Amino acid sequence: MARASKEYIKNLIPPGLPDGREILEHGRKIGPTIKAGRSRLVRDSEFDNYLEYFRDHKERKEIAWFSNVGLATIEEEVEGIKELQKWCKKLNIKYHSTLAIPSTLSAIPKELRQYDSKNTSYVLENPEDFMALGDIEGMEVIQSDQVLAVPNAWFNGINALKAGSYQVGCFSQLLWNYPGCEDHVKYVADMLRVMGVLSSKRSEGFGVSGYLDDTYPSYCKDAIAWVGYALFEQYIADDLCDVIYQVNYGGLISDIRIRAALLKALYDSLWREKQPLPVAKIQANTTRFWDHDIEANYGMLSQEMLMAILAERRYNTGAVILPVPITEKVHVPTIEAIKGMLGVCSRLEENIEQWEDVIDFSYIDEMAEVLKTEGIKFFRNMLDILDDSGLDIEDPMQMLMFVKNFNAGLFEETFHPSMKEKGKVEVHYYTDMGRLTQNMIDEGNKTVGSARLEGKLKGKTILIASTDAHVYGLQYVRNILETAGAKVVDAGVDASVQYIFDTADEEGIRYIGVSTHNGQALGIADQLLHEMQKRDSDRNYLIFMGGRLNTILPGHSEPSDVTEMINRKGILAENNLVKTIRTISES
Amino acid sequence: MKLKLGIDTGGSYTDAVLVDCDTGEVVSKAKARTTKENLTIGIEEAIDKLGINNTAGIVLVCLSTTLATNAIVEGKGAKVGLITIDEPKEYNYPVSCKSNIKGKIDVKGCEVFPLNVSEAAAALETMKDEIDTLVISGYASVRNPAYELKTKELSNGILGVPVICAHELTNVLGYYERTITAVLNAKLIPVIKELILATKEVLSVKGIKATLVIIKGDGNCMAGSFAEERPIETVLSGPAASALGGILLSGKQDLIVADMGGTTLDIVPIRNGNIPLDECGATVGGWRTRVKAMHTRSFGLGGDSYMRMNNLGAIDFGPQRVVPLCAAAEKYKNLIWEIESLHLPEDYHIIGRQEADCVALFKRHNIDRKVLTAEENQIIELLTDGAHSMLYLAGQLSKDVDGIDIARLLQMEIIYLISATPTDLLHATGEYVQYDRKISQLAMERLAARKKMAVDEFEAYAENAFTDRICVSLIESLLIEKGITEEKLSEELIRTVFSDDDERCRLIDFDCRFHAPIVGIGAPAKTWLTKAGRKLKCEVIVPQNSEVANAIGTVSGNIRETLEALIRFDCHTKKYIAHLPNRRVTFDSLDEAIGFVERELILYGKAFADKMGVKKYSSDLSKEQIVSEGYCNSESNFVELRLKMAISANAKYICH
Repeated sequence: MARASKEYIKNLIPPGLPDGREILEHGRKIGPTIKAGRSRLVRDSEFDNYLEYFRDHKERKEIAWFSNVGLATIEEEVEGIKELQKWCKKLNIKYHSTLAIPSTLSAIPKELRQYDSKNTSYVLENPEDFMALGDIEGMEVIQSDQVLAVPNAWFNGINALKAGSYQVGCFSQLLWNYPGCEDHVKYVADMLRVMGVLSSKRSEGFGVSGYLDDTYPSYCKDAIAWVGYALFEQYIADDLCDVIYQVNYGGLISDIRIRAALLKALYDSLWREKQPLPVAKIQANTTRFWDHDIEANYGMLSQEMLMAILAERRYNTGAVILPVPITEKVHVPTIEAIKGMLGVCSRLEENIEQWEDVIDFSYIDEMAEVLKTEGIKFFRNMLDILDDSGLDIEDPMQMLMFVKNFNAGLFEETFHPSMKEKGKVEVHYYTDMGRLTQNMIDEGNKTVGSARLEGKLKGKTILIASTDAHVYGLQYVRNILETAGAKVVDAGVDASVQYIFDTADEEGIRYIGVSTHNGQALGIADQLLHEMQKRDSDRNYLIFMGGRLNTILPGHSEPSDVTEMINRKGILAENNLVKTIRTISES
Repeated sequence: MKLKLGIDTGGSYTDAVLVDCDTGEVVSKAKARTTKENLTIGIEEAIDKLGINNTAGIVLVCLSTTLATNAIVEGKGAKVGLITIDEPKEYNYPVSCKSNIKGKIDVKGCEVFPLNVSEAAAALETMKDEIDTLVISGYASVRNPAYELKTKELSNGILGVPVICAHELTNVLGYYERTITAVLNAKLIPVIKELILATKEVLSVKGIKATLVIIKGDGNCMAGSFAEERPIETVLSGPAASALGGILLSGKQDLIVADMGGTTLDIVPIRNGNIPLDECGATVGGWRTRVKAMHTRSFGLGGDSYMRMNNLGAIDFGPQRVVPLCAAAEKYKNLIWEIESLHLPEDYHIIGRQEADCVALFKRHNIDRKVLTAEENQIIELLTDGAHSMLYLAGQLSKDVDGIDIARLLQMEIIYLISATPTDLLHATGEYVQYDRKISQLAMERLAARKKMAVDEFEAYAENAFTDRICVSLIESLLIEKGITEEKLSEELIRTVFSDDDERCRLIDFDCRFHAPIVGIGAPAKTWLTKAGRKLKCEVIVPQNSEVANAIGTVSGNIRETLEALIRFDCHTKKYIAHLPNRRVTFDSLDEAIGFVERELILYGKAFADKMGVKKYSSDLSKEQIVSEGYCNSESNFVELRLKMAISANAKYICH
């Protein structure tokens, strides 16, 4: 599919799904029986809860720093956080909140855990583990990772609440799956029940968070998806469940202009009277600035942090800044690495007024307005389409199941507002993923140009499809073929062979390009040939394949390149678009 | 004795036969000239010539007609409005007005973008009082007709004209072809309706009360009422009837039917007694449709093909058809004098016009003179007293004969062309004489003079050339039947197969063997196909009654229809999707889907039989399952299941 159909969306909701409103109500009834704790920071302060503390910090227009810490044991975790605290005190920078990152095993109920796998971080076993983290002096330890949108939601959520974590769970992790935990309905119901409890604790400042870069926007080329999807998460959390929602963002956006503009756009779009503190954190980028050579990272990160400070000072959202992300690229950051970067940040703060005199934010302000306007359209489009597809958009359970089950590869093509207006995604501001794809496309176009193939395919219509979920490869191929003059019909991702040929036949297309990366290239080639022969058509198809053309052949244990075998079967398999364009133009 | 009356309205002749229902014996046969402007005149004349004594004995009347094909070729018919829904590309259609509406259904039948109902309503309003029929064609409607049906419902409240949805005519993919099929069908509705009505009137006047059935292009038949809804199915019914007639009359199962009429030579290779069908759909008048009709190759080599010298001094035949001189001279005696007396200079270089070319008025009334040029009006004036040769007109107009432009008058069917044809050739040689022989001889003299040949030498040359063309056509047809594509066919190679006049290389020769007889159908068939058979060294059968084989073929047709359904597994929704002729339903299990579809097909079969007016019919359900070792399918590698319900009934069971 290139775009989700109404039927596809409708079928994301399993039959017999319990009504979310009832589950919420159940949670709300239980809520008063649960005593919500407070962090040591809050207990030792004049404030009743961390949100009040946060509001105060915003009113003071302070810059506050943040860390993500995930160490091997609870004890190490506590000590690590304390060490960072001490360091920040020495640097004279504000540091009062930390995200404690446990092992993913914590997300799974104890009885289903496989302890033989290596854990990078501590495992939450008992309520005491939660309480230990909530008792660090001067620190709000946020226990929202692997807590809410997970199979172990009830246990983790309630214990995080009792330990006083003001954000009880990250909404956006709902997209993740856990081995052995296939009963999604059950744990999504548990998540909703926890939210019911949180709803009863709203006046005490408890809520949930969203981290946009961990969920659907990360599959998008256009940064407006960040705003659009944040509004959707807020809609579910706040409008449907009456739970405070705060958003975090930044890991997958390296463009400092977009990062700054998003701060304002998110704050303005999500602000409401009953929740005037919608943006919790700006997170450092993980795609470009945190690489193997730690010392070299400081140069990149410091630019990013500089802009983050300037943006927060300008827009005064209260958001804290996380300078050192967790990234799979290297390893979980050590305390020393975090300390190093915090040192850089403290020096950045010192000269900040000088920068404010010379940086003109008007471009970023304009960007923010576009992000807001288009983001709101994105969100409304989402609700319209879901409603039109027959979902009950006022049932939080249906909304959460939609989030859980939807194919992320279809997200932007389905909900981007320009799809409705113009039939294709017109990007306003490229995300890293979008920029990467666009750069590849630009390079590809240059190659087409230097091979003098522009316009060579004029008058020809080509159907392209992917047999798996790789959407960007398809976009790349589409753009290159269009540069060569072809009209391209995109049959989308996860396309079956029958669907591909049916679309080609319906539109009278004889040129078919199939992309595959799932290690079954030879089988797919056979299916394509078989289907071609079966159709008994006078269409005279010309089929070409590309992607990762390998298969595990009988008797082998590793995949083999089967490009040559596919060519010998009569399907053009070049993986070289220039050659493919030439062949098609001569046919 | 129970009798069937078979009528075939060909391009040149209308044939009629009376056939004994029990023995299949031809009791009586007749031919009449087809009256193109009103087919029923020819039908009535042919029926009269049969000399029917006992009309009560006629239990069935079967009609095949070229009317649909001709109407399409000539661009005639109703004013059609077209609503396309999510048209994938801007196409040309023979419609009066068209609107494209937004709303997408994909090829799985899933609704992707909603139908823009307000846009549809607005488009329908603009068509009010502008059209006779409406066609609605939606992308992938054969997989889910919901949007077509919704728009149809809307239109019923706005337009009040017959509405055809594309999915009702075919279940095959191919948006453009399917839309064309629906549009042409819509155009043909009043045309066929008029024919059926008029034929029924003729039958009624003759006291024939039998049910009227119409032959379809696949050789099967349908009730008249069904034909009024689906007139497109009558295209190529003539060739289908001819093939059926060839099988019946020859008694052969493997044969090559060569139907030679006035305009074309239609060649159909037949194996095992089965009429070959064009599964992709028939092409009619240059339009590619999705109508399953007999696959035939047609060549412009008929008895009345225009015979002429081209500007390179070689002889050409067809594809244009003209009235033979010998036939025209029966009515217009002056033509004999004109051909005899009026000459072109010996050194005159022929560009287009021939010395034997003559014209006559086809239309005498309702000519809009204002749109014609002065010369065209003059020509009409000169023709009011009858036909004349072009040389005569050139003299009257004081113009070079090639300078007289009659193209528009021919295209508008105000005049028609009379000239030399293979029929004239046979008259000249004396091999076949039915009309005036003298004028044919004169025409051959003229053409021979152009070639600087003696007349008898020229006649042999022309006969050889025409026979060669027939041989090449036969071989070409069989090579295509063998699987060679058109692009790879080489006429040069084919000519070399039996050409014995190439002196350049005697080191190689080809021998071409036919493993089945050529069965000749049609009036000119005996003479010309016998000559071709000699050259090809193959058996040629021209059975008794072959001159009315088409009409005989019509009475051998039966009712056959195949209703299809498709069940597929959708790995995205994890549902089984059943695509039926007019709906789409999803199921959780394959068994449920199969059970439902089987029941529905039985009901569809019954509904079809009711529509046909058939009380007794048989049905046969077949299934073809496809499995795969592919990705994406999680349940037993199931890919799809095709169910086909074949309905068949003897035409005699139609009650209307």
